[in-house]
Amino acid sequence: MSGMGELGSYAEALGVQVTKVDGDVVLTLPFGETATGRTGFFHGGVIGSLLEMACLEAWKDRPDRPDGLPRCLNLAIDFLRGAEAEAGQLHAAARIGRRGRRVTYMEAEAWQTDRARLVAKARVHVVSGTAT
Amino acid sequence: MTMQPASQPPRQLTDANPAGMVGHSRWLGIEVLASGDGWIEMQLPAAAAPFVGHEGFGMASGAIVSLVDSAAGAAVVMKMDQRRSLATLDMRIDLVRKPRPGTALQARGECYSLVGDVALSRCVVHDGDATDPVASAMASFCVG
Repeated sequence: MSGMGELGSYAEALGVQVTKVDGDVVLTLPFGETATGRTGFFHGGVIGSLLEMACLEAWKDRPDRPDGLPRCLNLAIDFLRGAEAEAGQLHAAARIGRRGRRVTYMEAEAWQTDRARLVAKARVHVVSGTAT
Repeated sequence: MTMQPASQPPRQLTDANPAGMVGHSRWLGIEVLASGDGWIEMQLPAAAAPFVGHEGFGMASGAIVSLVDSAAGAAVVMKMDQRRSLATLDMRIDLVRKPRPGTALQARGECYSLVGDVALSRCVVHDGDATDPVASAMASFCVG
């Protein structure tokens, strides 16, 4: 879908891929040394970053693609279980909870082999159009 | 409680490897600047600046989340009197402003409570002046 240049060099270095599955923008991150936290698991920061990227990608995917660039004001991440290296990859997708004029409330989820078994969830406020 | 002199990396972290970091943190080049009882200061070097913020996004904080997770968690380790496992339960981050381009980022993590098997930390990320933060965060952990 979108080029990696659009996601940024951090996502590119981590090998994040963006696909569209049943209308949802889904981000996929492969496991590797660069994504490792404690032995055998993805790093919590990598999981959080992927959730944030999923929000920004989903925000940009709105039908009325708005002007300006999105940025996250804050993230509240709940870690539900360890993201295992063995599963090989981590997925994330986000949806808009409430769209305000300036601020959009979003919810993101991360999972591995089974979307019903979530690894982490995040609540994120995204604001548009400011450069600072 | 094990006291660590300032400017010495914590023993628990240096045990892992000489650089004190493994996996993602090592890849990012995160270093320990100083540490003490229940606190730690870490640095994300300027070389990792491309991984923080991006023109295509107003601000994809990217590596800032990882820096916070590392510093908030390591602060808990610095409060332990024996090695115990650590799992992050939740983390809340306010992204206050964009870092100045090309600067190293510093994070100070402070574990302000370790009672039973629950630990609580705060973390501030800045690019030189701690009173002008780039990000502010809090996190809770389950301690094994």
